[in-house]
Amino acid sequence: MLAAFGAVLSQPVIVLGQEPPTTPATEVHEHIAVTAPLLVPTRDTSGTAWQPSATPMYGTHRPWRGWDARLSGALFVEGLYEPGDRHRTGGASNRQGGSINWGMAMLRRRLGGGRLGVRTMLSVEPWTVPGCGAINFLAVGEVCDGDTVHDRQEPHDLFMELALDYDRALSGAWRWQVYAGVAGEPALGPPAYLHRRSAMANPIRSVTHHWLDSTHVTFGLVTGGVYNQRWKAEMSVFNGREPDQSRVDVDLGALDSVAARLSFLPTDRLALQVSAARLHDATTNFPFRSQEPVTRVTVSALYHVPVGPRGIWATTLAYGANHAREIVSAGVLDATTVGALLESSVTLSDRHTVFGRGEVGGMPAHHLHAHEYSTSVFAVGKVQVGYVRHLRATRGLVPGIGGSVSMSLLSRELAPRYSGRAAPSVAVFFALQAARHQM
Amino acid sequence: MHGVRSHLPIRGKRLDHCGPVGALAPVVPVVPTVTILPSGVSPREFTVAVGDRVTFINNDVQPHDIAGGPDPATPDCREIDAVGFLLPGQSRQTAPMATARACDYHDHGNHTPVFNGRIIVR
Repeated sequence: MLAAFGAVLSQPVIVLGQEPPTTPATEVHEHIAVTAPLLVPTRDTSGTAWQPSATPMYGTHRPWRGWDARLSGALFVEGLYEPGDRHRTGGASNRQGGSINWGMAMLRRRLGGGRLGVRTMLSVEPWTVPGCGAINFLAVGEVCDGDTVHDRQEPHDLFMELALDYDRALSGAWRWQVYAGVAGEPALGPPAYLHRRSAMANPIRSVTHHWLDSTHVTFGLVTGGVYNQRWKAEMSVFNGREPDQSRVDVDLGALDSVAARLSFLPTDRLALQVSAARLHDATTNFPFRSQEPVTRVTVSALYHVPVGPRGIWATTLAYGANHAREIVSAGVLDATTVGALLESSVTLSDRHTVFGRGEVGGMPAHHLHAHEYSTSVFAVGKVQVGYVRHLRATRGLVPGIGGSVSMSLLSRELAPRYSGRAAPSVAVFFALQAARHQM
Repeated sequence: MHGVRSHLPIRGKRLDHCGPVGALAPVVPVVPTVTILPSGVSPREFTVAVGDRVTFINNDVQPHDIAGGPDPATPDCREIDAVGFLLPGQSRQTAPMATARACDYHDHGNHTPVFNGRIIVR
């Protein structure tokens, strides 16, 4: 798969945007000067989410049988070390190897006065992430071996996105858009971490994922919205059930969850969003988990600043809140829990990336399987810093070598499960990522 | 009760060594106990009365995470979840066993069958 991916990326760049392949590349690369809407605006990111317009493109655009094809992706081969674990799902484990990976293909063309997009995103993590997921202190969510997952980041499904989008002029600068698929991302939360520039160099998933962007793999959704250059309002109906433990199928379900999001780009460097959702049967696979709807609210800001000709500083600040009424061991936990994330990365000259992340939140004890405190919510936190040395790009792919250290911060009650109130984690990895698109 | 380790006091029995000669010794409530050893839980199965609590003592060198139900996928008997995570040497009680029934439990962090047991509540 990688060989094919690299071969496609290595083809000569001919076209970015919408017009005939005979157009000189230097002209169609003038993003701002193009009067007709671009087929793939730089603000477009995961699902229908927006990032700042001043974001470099990573990956490539190619003409292909009348379509404009965009390819992107990433592969990390990682070694993880988390001393002190005593209880995680899938068995206590302090060391683990594996690969985090995804590849994305998007085709767009003009059709019927509008733009049609065909989108897919795949991952082979079902085969490259062993056990119930990559070890990751405080990461929770979804199911494995008949149990809810904690202290691991579950592998992504093979099919992360299988969707179509269509968009057309509405009135003046306003356009309408429909995005629908058997797999995709509803209008909820900030862009998924895989697509956030502030997280792209980092293979470790955030702890607050299930407060912010966990619905980025949703099996069954329809999103409709209207937008102009600065504003976007959209609404989704979707299947809010988390994927089951079989990671190679499509877990379709009733479209009985709803979400709405308002996005705003006050400048080319800043993207804001506020969104809310009502998720039905989000965790239906486990009997002690909530069967009542979960209400989620998220707010986020993404700020991207160029640093020299080939650098970027990308920062995400996000806050999410979940309200759920859950039946737990000792009764009912009727609580609103919150998570906040600040992550940032600086890439210099496409050679060095330094990244960091800080998170705090209220973690329901039963999400960490602290059964004896099942009606409690504990304050937890996690900080991480890392570095990647990017090597010479080859065939449209950039290899790199990196690592990170993290510290999970725990309450006194949780400390015995982690051998202390501060639990360290170390990651080293080889990365292969789509290169910055050449302008 | 059958199968409970013989060193446990018997419900309601006066214990002669607990008070001065000639005085009535206090009544020591029975606290059925499960001991967790490297070889597994002991006893594997025993009977308690409705309303009783059960104490779990971890005499292993490893921590154990006791939860109700035969396995993580089948949570049950939530009273047992109150035991939770036990470091070596720690002990903790279940909540009062509320219903007459058979209650399985397991080690949530170590699914080896020797750490599974059953409490029969009558």
